[in-house]
Amino acid sequence: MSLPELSTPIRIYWDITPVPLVHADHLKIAEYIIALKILNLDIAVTGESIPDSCFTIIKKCSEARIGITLTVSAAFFTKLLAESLSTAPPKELLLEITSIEEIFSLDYTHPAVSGFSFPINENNWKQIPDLIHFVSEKGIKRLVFPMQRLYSGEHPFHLPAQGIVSISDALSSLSPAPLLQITAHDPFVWRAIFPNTPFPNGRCQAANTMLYIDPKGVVYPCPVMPVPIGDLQITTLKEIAKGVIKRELRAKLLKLPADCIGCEMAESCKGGCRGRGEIISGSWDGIDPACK
Amino acid sequence: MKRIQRNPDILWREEDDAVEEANSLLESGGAADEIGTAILFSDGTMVTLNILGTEIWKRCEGMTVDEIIAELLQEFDVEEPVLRSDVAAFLNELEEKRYIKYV
Repeated sequence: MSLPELSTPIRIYWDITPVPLVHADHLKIAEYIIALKILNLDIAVTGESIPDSCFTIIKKCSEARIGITLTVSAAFFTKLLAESLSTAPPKELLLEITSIEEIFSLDYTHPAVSGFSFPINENNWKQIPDLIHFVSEKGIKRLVFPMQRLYSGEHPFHLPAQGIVSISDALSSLSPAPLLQITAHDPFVWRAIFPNTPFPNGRCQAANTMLYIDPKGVVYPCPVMPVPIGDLQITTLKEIAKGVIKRELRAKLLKLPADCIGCEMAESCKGGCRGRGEIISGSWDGIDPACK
Repeated sequence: MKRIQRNPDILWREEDDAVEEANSLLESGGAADEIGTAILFSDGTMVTLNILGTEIWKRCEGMTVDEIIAELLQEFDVEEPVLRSDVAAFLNELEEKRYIKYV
């Protein structure tokens, strides 16, 4: 099943940090998000401290019935932060970790904590099975493998083909923990963890169900697709979401990459991660390198 | 009779453009069943509702089944037995998904 085409997104990913030299107007952006009737706002604050505006954003958006997922650096999660969030708590609070070893020094049992966010890279992907085993055993309810952020020119990462097999094998003996909800945005990470379940999003959802806002207020179709479609310093989120640039891009993404035509897997993967394919090949017709 | 309550964890919105399109079609005697006029979102899963589903969903906040049917009969040109059957089937589906409960 593929999700339907929407007139405006239901989900916004917004990285507030690292704070740029020219500050984005956070409260103005929050008003834009509320005006667009977004359903879920995923805020990432991965620094030593949380800007005061973040608490106001959470409060205003929660009052507007927007579900908030807040991701903070695990190393900087403190009881003080939890107390600061207690007056307007996010729907989910995720602690970002980059290795399983980080967990052991954390107070992850704090009631404010929903679970972990684990950005996958070439140094830690082999820990995925151990991490899933650990959170299952501990009764942790949420584990998110977030999308890579590529707006600063980072090289896209993908699981090696053998890695997908080895992760699946390592997880094959695991009984699913009934309370654990795992989110994997990368279709090939999904395939590694849930080899028998179709990717729930169907095709790429960049610029359809989601948009991404970087710390400067520049809007992208997806964190993994560094193709700017607007700037919130100049225009509103609604204008960007309903604008011709977004619609034209979305039309391109609805077509299967030319290099995938004839592939027997195309019906299920629908071109995989289109941002990654575009970065590596320089074309919307390129194959997601994770597929090779 | 028990009253219906929405699961507060379900995030949802009406799609204004689609509602306008559906209403326009209904006014001109057309069918609007295929137009998604509301989106429900929970745990990463999205469900779209047509215009009748949307109107039922909006009333799942303290009303009884009979109250919902009575209101919808005022809005939609439909026979009561047909509407009653559609509403029952839809509410059963919502209850199975744990989107609503009866209190």
